[in-house]
Amino acid sequence: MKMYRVLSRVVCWAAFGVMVPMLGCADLSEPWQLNYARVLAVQATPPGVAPLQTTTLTALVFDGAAVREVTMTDVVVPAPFAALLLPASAPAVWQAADATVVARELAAQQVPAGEALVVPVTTSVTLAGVDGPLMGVKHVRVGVAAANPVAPAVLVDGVEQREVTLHAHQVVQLSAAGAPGLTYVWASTHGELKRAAAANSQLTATELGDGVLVVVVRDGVGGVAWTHVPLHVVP
Amino acid sequence: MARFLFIAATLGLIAPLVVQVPAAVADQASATDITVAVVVRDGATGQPLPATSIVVDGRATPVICDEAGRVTITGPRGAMLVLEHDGFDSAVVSIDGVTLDVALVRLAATAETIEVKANAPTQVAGAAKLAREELSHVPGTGGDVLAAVKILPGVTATSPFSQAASSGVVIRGSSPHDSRILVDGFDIPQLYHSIMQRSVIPSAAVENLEYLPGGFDVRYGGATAGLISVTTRGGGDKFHSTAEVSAIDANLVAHGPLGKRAHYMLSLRRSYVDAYLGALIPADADVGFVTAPRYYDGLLRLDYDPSPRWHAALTVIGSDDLIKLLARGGGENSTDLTFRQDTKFVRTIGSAIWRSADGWALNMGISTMLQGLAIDAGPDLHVNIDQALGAGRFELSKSMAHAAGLSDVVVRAGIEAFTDRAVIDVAVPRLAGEGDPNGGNFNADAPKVYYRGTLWLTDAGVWSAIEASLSSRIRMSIGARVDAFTRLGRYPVQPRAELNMNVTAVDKLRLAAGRYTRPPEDTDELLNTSLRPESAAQITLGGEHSFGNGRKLQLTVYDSERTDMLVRDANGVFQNEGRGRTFGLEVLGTVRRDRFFGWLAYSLSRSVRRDAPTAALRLFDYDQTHNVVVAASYRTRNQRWIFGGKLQYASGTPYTPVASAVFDSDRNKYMPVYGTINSLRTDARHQLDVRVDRVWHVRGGTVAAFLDISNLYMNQSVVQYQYNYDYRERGAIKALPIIPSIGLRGEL
Repeated sequence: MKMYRVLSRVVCWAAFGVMVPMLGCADLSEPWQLNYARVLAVQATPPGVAPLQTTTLTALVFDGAAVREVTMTDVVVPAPFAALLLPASAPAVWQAADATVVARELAAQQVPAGEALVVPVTTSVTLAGVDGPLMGVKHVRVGVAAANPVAPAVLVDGVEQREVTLHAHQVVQLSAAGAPGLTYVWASTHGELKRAAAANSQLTATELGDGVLVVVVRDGVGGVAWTHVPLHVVP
Repeated sequence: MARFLFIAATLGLIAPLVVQVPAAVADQASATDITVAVVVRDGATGQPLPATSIVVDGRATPVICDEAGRVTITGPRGAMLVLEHDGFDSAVVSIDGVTLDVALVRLAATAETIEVKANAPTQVAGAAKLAREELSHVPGTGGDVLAAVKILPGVTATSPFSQAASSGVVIRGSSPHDSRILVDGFDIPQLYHSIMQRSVIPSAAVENLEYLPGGFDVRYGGATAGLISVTTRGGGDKFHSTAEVSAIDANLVAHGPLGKRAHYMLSLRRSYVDAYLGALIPADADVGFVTAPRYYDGLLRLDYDPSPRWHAALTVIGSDDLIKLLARGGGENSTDLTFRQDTKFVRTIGSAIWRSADGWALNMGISTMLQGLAIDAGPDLHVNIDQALGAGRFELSKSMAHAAGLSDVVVRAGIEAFTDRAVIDVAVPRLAGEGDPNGGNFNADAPKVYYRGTLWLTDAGVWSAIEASLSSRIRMSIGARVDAFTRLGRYPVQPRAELNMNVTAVDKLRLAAGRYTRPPEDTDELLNTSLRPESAAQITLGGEHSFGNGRKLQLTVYDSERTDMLVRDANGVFQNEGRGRTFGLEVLGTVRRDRFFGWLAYSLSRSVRRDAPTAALRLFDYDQTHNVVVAASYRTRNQRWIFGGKLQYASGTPYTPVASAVFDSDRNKYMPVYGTINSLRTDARHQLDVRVDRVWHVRGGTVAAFLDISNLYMNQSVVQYQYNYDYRERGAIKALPIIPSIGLRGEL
């Protein structure tokens, strides 16, 4: 009844947040573990389109065995944006409307001058051997041209590598050289990653075998790029 | 409104029916009444027992024995008398002559029993009152008073680590925030310390706890469900001290006289888990303590009786909690995160009761509170609130033997008000509302609530009621309360009525109906001044039968219709669009012998909500179909050992399944797509708790040790489900498998 209920509830909420990790949680897959098929990132090239400019939607997917770059074959633009982003020559290629339509739509959405209208595009692809379609939502920015960041180089203990070979139980420091302001996400089929959502990560080789090591970078405004290198863990 | 008219009409229809029955009986009985001289004694010592309450078969008002344990009554030969005295087993005898000498059996000195005194002081169906000694011996609670209330019918069984358990008590299918927990008549801001689920008032500082699951009197406002009222312990006529140590904390309570007219009680407690908890956590763990959790609490109560007509009391209660955690960078976190929570409050309560010789009484209470809260969990999450609050409550009543053709008339009128000033600086994720599937997740990505400023909040309430006996068996109370929620400009009128009928000396019926409101003053509800109070129309019907020899059975049915419930719209803004309904049945059976106590509580309930006028009905977050508690305790003949056990079974908690998830590439985050809200339940909870007390009698005092084991057979119930990053995998967060608690208590 009183205002101090504000406090009791916030305290409870905070205390509960502390308690849950203390109780312990089930052994669930971590985002960095490549252990089943999924989309790792969807890239629009370019991520921002000026009037009449086209963009192509591709994705980095893990199909359960390997990482592949695929063209998204099913793309759906929500009805409110149907006049703004139009299908072009191929299912994965879309084109911004002409300048008059773009200006009208941006004005209708009260988008400030010089900024883009963000269109959420649902993409999916069906791969042989994978149950169901792999889906991902990509936000295409219409009205202002933009570019994806440059794919980063993968450095292992400070040395750039195009193929990584580790011995079992070996611990290495991973880093990705990219432009400032990017965020990084690492993923691997083998081993254990620490600080997988940072530019500098750590990989401990565990089980033997051949796999892949991936790093995806995002610029926070729709730009995305990735690098994946073969990973071998040997005795 | 239509609903309320229906309730009023129901009362109007029932009243004439029940009035007719006793009138006929009374007419028949009056022809054969005899006068009986009764004396009541302590069965162990033979000493008279003053102030024993005696109810003559079919009469609403008890007669009270004088200082010599004597009273003269009139009644028909063969009529049943029910005798009750605090600390003694109740007795049922029949009139078979002009004198009656009754010996009551004293309950064990350190009673392990849980006594339900449903006929006093409140007449609400389903109500209960539990004494300190009763509360502190409930198995599975570690002796904690507030944990013990969860054995009561109507109280939802929740995991000790659930949000509901942290927030308060779920009564009859309502949110914890729909009920109030009062200490000496006023709210306290925090029920539990930050750790270990310890309530902020030690058991040794509690006199009793009153439980009103619904249908409560007009003197209480601001709640649409139930009330739990804790009365602190006053000092006795002799010096007495209790020291208790457990694995978690140590507590010292001392009380005694201050001159001839005053008494004191002082309680101090300090946790010491900080001394060893840090050492138990591995150095390379992801979470560590910067400051291990620690708490203090204290309570001072002074009672003063300047004259036989005056009683005054001053209570000061305070608590101080601090915890500081360090979550080391790893997993998805690239940097270390510090979490700090610092809460403290001091509440001062002054109260006085004055009674005149001609039936006037004035009950007064004033209170102030200072409170501080600081939570810091990184740059985007902080809460800093400092509050100062003042409150007052006054109730004037007049008792009359006869008035307006009625007998035993009591007329009451009261007023209360509080004003609260809060200096606030918060940036927190918006708290998920009831029914929000995200509510179970600690979601740092939820939209943030930012507020910085000073808030004033002033609420008030006035009430009036009249109680009277309509016949020798029927007593009725009718009244109304008007609250003033000034910040909202809302003034809801809440009529309420109660009807009590002594069908026989051992059978009682009770009916209560009324309207109850709760102001939207919980968390960010405060920021929206266009809201209306939540409202509930309650109707409760209960019956009670005493079998004699300490056996009693209560049955209660209830229905609560909730309107103007707060729900968030698509933009996250609160609207009064919700409706809800809770109905159910409660059974409470008790068996009490000299050294044995048995308890059976069963609750059957259904609680549903509708989030918009056209939305489908769904289950309430804490709906619980079945809840059964069976408890028993036994004291050995030499009074040295007490063995107790409690078995509880409760339906699982509703939850919302995740149907699928959509990957948002730019945010690198999966967004869940939920199925029907609360369409599934976790597995049923069940557990066995046991407790053993060993008492040694030493010079002038006692030393007692106890071992309390919660969840003896280690059934790990599900607290909630947690999903992995893309919602394909689900794992259960389970409660602790077994919680042993040991303690040592010395009394002088």
